[in-house]
Amino acid sequence: MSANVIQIEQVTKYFGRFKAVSSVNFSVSEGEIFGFLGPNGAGKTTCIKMMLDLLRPDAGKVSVFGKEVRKHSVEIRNSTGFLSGNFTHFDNMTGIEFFKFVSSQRKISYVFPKQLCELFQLSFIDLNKKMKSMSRGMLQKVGIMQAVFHNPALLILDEPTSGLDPIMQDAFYSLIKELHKKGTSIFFSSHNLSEVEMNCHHIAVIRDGMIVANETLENLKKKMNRKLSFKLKKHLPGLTLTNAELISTDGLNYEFLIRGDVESMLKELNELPIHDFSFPEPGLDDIFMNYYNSGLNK
Amino acid sequence: MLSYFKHILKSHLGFLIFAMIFIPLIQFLIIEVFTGLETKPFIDSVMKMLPPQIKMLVGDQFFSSLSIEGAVGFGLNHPVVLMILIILLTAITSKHIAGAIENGTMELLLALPLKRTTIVSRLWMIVAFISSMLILFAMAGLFISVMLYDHLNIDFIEKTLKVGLNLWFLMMVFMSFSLMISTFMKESGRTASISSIVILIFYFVDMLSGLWKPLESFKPYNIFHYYQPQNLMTGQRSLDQNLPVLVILIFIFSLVSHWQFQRRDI
Repeated sequence: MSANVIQIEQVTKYFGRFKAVSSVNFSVSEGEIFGFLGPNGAGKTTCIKMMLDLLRPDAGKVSVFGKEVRKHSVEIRNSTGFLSGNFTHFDNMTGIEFFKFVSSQRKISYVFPKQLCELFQLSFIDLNKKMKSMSRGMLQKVGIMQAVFHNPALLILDEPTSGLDPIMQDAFYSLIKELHKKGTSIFFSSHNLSEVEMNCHHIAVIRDGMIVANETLENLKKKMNRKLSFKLKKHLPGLTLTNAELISTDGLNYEFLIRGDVESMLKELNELPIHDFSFPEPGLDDIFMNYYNSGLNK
Repeated sequence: MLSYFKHILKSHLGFLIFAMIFIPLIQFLIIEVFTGLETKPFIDSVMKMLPPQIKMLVGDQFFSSLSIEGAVGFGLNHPVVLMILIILLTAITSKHIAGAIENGTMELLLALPLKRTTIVSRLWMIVAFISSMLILFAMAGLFISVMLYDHLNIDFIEKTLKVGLNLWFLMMVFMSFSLMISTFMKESGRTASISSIVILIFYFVDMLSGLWKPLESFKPYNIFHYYQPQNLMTGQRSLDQNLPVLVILIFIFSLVSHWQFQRRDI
């Protein structure tokens, strides 16, 4: 079993009287791409900031690379790349000056990030512009580049694709895959469910400061109630199925919500005169909305 | 350190250039005006005719400025000079701590492998350097002027350097104070305002304490009491009376800044 690069144990954080995160637990394994989902204000950024020692938890423990963040933050940040949700910059610097600045602070020699520039379609001229005159998308590219250009062992990204056009989003996904192949552990929060579904192995969903789901995508899908729809060749009123809750029917078209084991249900279906049939696997959108709505209904 | 220094210089370049030209220029002009005009006999005779209350209102500073030493003291204690230095130093510290937290660049800095104490210490050192440069520029303005219009001698240089050193320590107190306020706040504008207002209150109380007897007993509790350039120039006060208090305050404010920045959320 691979070691955990991030370990969050029973972490609680207050802002004044407001409890931003409450007894949060999760861990990110080495070499894994971890997706962190949640609506606005759920506590995603608070958790991320605690991993980098920007915020101090009121209770619980945050460890990165097996070391407590508070005590070893410099060491941890040396091997970590970070992109904040709202990537800010030094107004008076050009992109090149910014990379030189970051290199000097990381005590590495500056080399023009040629490969990254090619990937994100940036030229030397683009990077030689003052950062205050760069567009939102361009700044986001610079932000991603500064997070990865020192080859970190862990990458923490807070909504990395916001501001990127679809082509650049694809470039980002290929970068993520490339880094994953090299063994980089990647933690990213996102609103974009499809990108999390496409890139992540493990997913945690946070709602109102609490983790409501923390599973591999596969397990999450298994746990989800699936919707079964079918059309019969003839009217069969009063039909029931094992482990299934009837949602709607007109005697010919049926909709069921399937819970748990599907084996016996499939056997029963096999004996029915079915004309048309649909039993889709739940997408991350369904999973997310399921967790989100169940919270709203409470 | 150098790249951060460059970044800070660039952020305040306009104001820094203005201060580097204006502060020596005003020193130069004060000496030039004083030595170039035969004002002393005229002012002396006018002063003799004034009632004691009015003399008190005009203050010691004016009397002492009737000598070249007094003029130097007056130049280095000119409200505009002090105001420029205070605004610049409080602006730099508040922008690069509270302002950086406000606009998010502190997150960027603290995502790099930098200790929090390093961030505070190097800002302290950079502002200390800028402050010493500005005071040296002011000294240069003074020395050039005295050299052109009067006789520059070792004794005069020594006295002036003492005033410069005293001014530097005073500015370091203000900078450390502003740094301390910054570490408690999240908005640079509010931080700079609070720091400036507190300093301004001390300045006015110091002025009033020369005019209003009941306030006189509070003088030792006022920071400006430990910077009296005219008295330093005329030998009525020594650096030993001023520096220990200023050094203790710098130490306390810096220590609190480090402690608070170390424990706070960003």
